[in-house]
Amino acid sequence: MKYKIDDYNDIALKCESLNCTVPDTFSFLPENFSNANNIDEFIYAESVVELRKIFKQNNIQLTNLELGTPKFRVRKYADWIGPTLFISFSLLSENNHLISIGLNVLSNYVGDFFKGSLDDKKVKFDIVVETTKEKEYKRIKYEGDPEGIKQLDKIIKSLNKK
Amino acid sequence: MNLFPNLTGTLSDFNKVVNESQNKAIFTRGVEIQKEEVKALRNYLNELEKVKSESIKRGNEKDANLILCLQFSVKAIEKELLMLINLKEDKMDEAWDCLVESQNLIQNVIKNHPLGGEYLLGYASRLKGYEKLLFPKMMFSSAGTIIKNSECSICNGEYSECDHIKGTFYMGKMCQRIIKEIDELEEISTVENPDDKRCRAKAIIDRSTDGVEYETDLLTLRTKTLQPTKQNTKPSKCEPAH
Repeated sequence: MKYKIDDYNDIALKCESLNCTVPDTFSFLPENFSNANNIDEFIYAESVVELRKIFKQNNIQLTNLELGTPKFRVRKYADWIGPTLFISFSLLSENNHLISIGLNVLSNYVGDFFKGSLDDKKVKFDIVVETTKEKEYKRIKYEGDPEGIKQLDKIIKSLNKK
Repeated sequence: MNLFPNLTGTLSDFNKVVNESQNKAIFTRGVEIQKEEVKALRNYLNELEKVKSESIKRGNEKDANLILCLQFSVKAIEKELLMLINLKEDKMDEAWDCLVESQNLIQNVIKNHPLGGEYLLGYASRLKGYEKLLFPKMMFSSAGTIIKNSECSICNGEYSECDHIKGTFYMGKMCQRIIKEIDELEEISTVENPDDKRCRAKAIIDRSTDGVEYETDLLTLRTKTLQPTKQNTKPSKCEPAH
């Protein structure tokens, strides 16, 4: 597994400028979040559709930034190219057990995605973590296998700058 | 403990049919015997469909889904046999497609089998073995599209709003996302690891100095002229890397 951590843009500020819901739980960010001029332009990785369903089935609260049906980008790769998962500061600081549950659900879903495949199992996705009350954000760029997703738990929790 | 008491006879029949068919899905077996076996498997699929309908009528989703696993497994062997038949009949394109379809069917069974499906990994490896041994290394294409609307094949509702998950079995049917509206075709990329291995580079077109175009099939390396003014064959210049 490989991962890289860097600073990320102010999510709350961008949400306010787009007049969309500021996420306070888990959320999936559109691929063009930084460049979008309005909510109608949002384009999500196609796996967001299934992940929203799986999170709902597991009673994990998610904030959808938009109302209605957004657009999705379909890529015909055997690799799993996931969406950007957002983790709010309230999850990180007050309910961080939910982060473990969310990552477990994600890891199981990606494991099922590859079940029965004998080809390489490559997973790529980002996690954006709100690390302080003062709206500071870090991005974790993950590249590895489905099992490695669970190991991100400790890395995410270590970003808490409470 | 018998988890499927209603299907004891069906499972016993299935095992007999599959053993018989796998004994014929070997390259050295007679092609006419393999063709007969394909017909027999198609008839057996109809029988399984009737048993599945009964399970659905009873509202027994667990049984219906297991029978769908059996149907997909039978189809996978049918496709394996068709691959062998096509190879013997020098239809390499068709042989490749049959192999990929067989692999996809078995992967769906492994994903959805109520008992885990791991016992099928050996069969999946056998199919992977054909890919490595019988076919050259290939390049594939992958399309990137933006979709607006898609429909769920189970409930016919908007796929992003229902609870069904594509590739999962529900009451003897596999959920599929049916794309209804494409907003944009963004790109076509060449990839080594595509979602669908039937989308592959099939030929190379080569133009000689005198302007004549030749098309070389990447599976057979046979070359044909695209313009009728020249003779039909020439030695191939392109050989895919192994």
